[in-house]
Amino acid sequence: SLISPSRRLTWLLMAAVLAVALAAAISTYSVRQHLARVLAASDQSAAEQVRGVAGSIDAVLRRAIVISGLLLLPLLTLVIWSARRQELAWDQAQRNEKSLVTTLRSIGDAVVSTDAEGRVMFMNAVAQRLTGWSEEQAQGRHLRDVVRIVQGGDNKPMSDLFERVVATSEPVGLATGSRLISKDGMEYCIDDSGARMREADGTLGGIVFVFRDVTQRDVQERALRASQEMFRLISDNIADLIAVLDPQGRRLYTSRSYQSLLGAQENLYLTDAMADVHPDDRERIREIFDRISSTGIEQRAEYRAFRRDGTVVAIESVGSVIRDEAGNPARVLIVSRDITQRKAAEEMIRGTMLRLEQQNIALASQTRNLAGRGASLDEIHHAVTELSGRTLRTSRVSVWFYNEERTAIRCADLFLESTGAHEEGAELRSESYPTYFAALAEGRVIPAHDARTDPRTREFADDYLDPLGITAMLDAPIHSEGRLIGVLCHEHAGSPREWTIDEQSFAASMADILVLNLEIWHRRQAEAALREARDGLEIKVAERTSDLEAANERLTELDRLKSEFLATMSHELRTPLNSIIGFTGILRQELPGPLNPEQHKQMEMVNRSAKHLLGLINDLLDVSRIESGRIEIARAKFDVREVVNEVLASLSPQANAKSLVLEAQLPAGPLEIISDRQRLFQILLNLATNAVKFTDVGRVSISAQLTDGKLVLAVRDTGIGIKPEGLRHLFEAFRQVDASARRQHEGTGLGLYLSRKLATLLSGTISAESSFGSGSVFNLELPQFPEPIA
Amino acid sequence: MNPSILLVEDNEQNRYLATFLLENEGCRVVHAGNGREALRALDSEKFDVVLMDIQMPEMDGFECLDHIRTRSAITDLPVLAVTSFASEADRKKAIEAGFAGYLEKPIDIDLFFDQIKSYLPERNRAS
Repeated sequence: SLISPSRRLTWLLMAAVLAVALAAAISTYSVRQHLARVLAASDQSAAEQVRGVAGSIDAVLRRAIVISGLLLLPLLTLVIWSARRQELAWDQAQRNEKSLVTTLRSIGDAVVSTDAEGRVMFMNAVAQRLTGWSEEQAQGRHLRDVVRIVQGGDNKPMSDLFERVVATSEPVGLATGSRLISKDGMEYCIDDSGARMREADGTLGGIVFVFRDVTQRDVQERALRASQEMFRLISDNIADLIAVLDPQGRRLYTSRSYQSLLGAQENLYLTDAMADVHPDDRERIREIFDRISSTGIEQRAEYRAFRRDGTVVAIESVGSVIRDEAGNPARVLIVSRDITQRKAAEEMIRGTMLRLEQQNIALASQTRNLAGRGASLDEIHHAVTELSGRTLRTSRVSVWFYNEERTAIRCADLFLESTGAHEEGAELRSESYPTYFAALAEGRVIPAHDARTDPRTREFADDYLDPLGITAMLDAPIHSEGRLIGVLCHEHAGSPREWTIDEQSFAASMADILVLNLEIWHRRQAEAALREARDGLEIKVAERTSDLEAANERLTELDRLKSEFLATMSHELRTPLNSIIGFTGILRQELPGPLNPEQHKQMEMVNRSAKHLLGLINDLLDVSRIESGRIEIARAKFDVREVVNEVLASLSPQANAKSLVLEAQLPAGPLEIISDRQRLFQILLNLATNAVKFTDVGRVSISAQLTDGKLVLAVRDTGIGIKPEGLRHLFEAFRQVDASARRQHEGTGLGLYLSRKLATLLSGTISAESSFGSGSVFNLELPQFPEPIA
Repeated sequence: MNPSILLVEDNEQNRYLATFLLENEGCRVVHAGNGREALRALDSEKFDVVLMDIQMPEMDGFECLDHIRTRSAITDLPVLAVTSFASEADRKKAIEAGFAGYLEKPIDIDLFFDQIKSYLPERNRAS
C-alpha cells in the first residue's frame, strides 16, 4: 500500500480530535439554543438563571475550546513526530523489502516462499529455472506440486516438504542426496533447507524454501572419491613402494607395500623418510630430495636402505612433486622399488661379461699381436690354425690363399691336431671344384655339417673327404680390405658334426684375427723396408751433404785463393810489363836514338809479345772474375754507333797493314741501347780483332741493326773460315781452330770464351757461322732495353 | 815555368820510364820511393801534380793520400794513382779514396803525358 500505517494513524488521530472538538462545540451550541428557547419561554429569573447557565456554558465552551486547543497542540506535535519516525522506518522497511526481493531474485540459490497454507507466493529466477515453473504459474499452487523432491534410487517422494519445514523450529537442511524433478522431467541433485516465517503475533506466516543445484559438485565429488579409492587400491596393491612426503621429507602417506618393507616404526605418519636410508647414501639422497622439492624436476636415484628387520636393501626411487593449486611444489611423491635382486643379477652378468671379456682378451692377445711381436708369416699361420683347431677340437685346420690369377687356392698351412704337425703347399684348382669356389666367392662362412652331402663341399668327397674320413667342414672366408683373399678351413673327422652358431662365429673371428695379423705383418714389413730405405737414404744424403759442404768450402777457398793469386800475379806481372812495353815503345819510337832496321824489327817483336802477354793477363783476370761472379755490369744508355766507330778506329792500323777494307754498315740515325758500354766494346773489339787477324784478303765489316727490341751486331770477314767441327768448340777456353792457326795467329785462346761470357752477362747471345775458306760471321745479339737487374 | 811533378814509385825501372817520358815533355820530376818520402818531399817544395803508386813499402798510396788531404796547404793538390792494380773495383776504390785520376800500368807511352796534362795548372797545359 502507498500510505504508510503511521501516516494513517496520524490522520485518524487528528480527525478524532477534530470530531470531539466539533461534537463538543455542536453539543454545546445545541444546549445553548435549547436554553435560549427555554429562556424565551421562561421568566426573568429563570432567564437570569438560564443566562447564567448559558454564560457558564459559554465560558465552559470557550474554556473547552481553549483547553482542547491547548491539549491538541502538543498532541498533534507528538503525533506528527511519531508519524514522521514511523514513516521513515516504513520507508526503510520498504527499501529493505525491495532490496531483499531483488536479492532473492538475483542470488544463485533457488528461493521459494509460501503462505501459511503452503501455497507458493514467491519464486526467484533460479527456482523458476530449476523447477520449470514460472512465478505466475506457480503462485497459489501448493509447494509440493511445484517443488518435487525425491530421494534414493527409486525416486521415492520425500515426506511433504511444507509439513516438515513447519514442523521444524530452526532453519535446517532437510536432507542430503535429495533430487529435484523439474516440471519438464529434468533431474537435479540439490542441497536444500527450509525455514518458517512467523507473523508478528507468532502465528505461521508461511515458509521459505531454499535449494541449490549441486549436480556438478556431486559428480565431481563422486569422481574424486572414486579416484581416491582407486589410488588407494593401486598404491596398496602394486609392488612399487609409494610414499608421499612433505617438503621436509616427512612421510604423509605410505602404501601398504612401503610399510611392509621399510620404516622401523609402526606409525610412519610424519616420520623422517631419510631415517631408512643407509647412512653412506643419506647425504646424497637428501640432496636429490631437496633438488626435487625445490625445482620440481623429477629425479631418479639408487641407494641402499634398511628393511624393517634391519637388513640392507637396494632401492631405486623416482621422486616427483605434487603441486598445490597455485602450482607450487607442496608434496613429494616417491615411487620406489626393491632392486636388490636386479642388482645382484646385474652384478652376476657383469662378472660373467668380465670373465668372457678377459677370456677374449687372453685369446686375442695370444694371436692378435703375433705380428706386432715380430712373428714370421709361418708363425702367424701356425698360431691361428693351432688355436682354432684346439678350440673347436677339429682334426685338421688349414689356411688357404688365392693365387694371383684367382684360379686356385694354395695351402699356406695345415695343422694336424692328432700329431701336432704342420704341412703346406697343397693346391686346389677352381676348375676342379667349381661349386665350392662359387660358394667361397660369396664370402660367407660355409658350415657343412655333413660335408659329403652338402652341395657346397661334396665335390671333395671322393678324392679328399672319404680318404681322410672327414665328415664335417667349417670354412671361414678371409677378407682383407674388403677383398676375399683366402679361406680358413676346419675339417672334422669321425662322427658327423653340427657346427653351432658360436663355433661358426669363432671360426669367422679366427679368420679376422689371421687377417689382422697378416695386415700388421705386411705393414711392419713395409715400414721396415721404408725405414731401411729412409735410413740408408738419410745416411747417404747426410754423407753427400757433408761431402758437398766440405767440397763447397774447399772450392770456395780454392776460388778465393785462385782469385787472390790471379790478382797478385796480375799486379806482379804488370810491374815488369810496364817497363818492357814502355821502354820497347820508347826505343821503337827512336826517342833515345836511331835503331837499325833489324833492331827496330826485334824491338817491335818484344813490344808485341809483351802486349800479348798483357792481353792474356787481362783476359785471365776477366774470366776469373766472371766465373766467380765478381764482375760488375754497368747499365747506361749509349749509342752503339760510337762504340763501333771506336772499334774500327782502334783496328784500322792492323787492317791498313794488311790492306783490308774495314767498314761499318750502320742504319741512319742513332742506335741507342742500355748496356755496359765498356763490355760491349770489349766483345766487339775481340770479334773484330779476330776477323782482322784471320783475314788476309778482302774486308772486315761491322753491321748493326735494331729489330724487335734487339740489337744485332754482325762482324763479317772474308777470311779463312772455320771448319764445321771447329765451330762446335769455338767458344770454349783455350781452343783455337787448329794448331797451325794458333801458331800462325797469336791469340790468348780466351777471347771468344770471354766474349760469350760477357755477352751472357749482358743478357745477350753470341754465335758464329762460317763456310770454310770463304769467311765467317759472328753475331752478337743484345736486348735494347734489358730487364732491370733483380 | 815547367810543370813540377812528384813521382812516388818504389820500382826503379818504372820510375825511370815515367821520368823519361815526363822529362821528355819538359816536366821537372822529383822522386819518392814510398809515401813517407813523398810527404817529406811535399814538406820541402811545391808540386803541380803527384803521381803515386799504390802498393809501396812503409807507407802505401792510400795512407799517403790521407796525410796529404789533412794538410791544408795542399788540400787541392791533384794526386793521380799510377798502379798495377787493374780491376774496375780497384779503380773505384782509388777514386773513392780521393785520387784525382787513375792510370793503369802498363802505361801507354803515347798517351801518358796527355792523361796527366789535364791535371796541370792552366799555365802548363800549352807545353
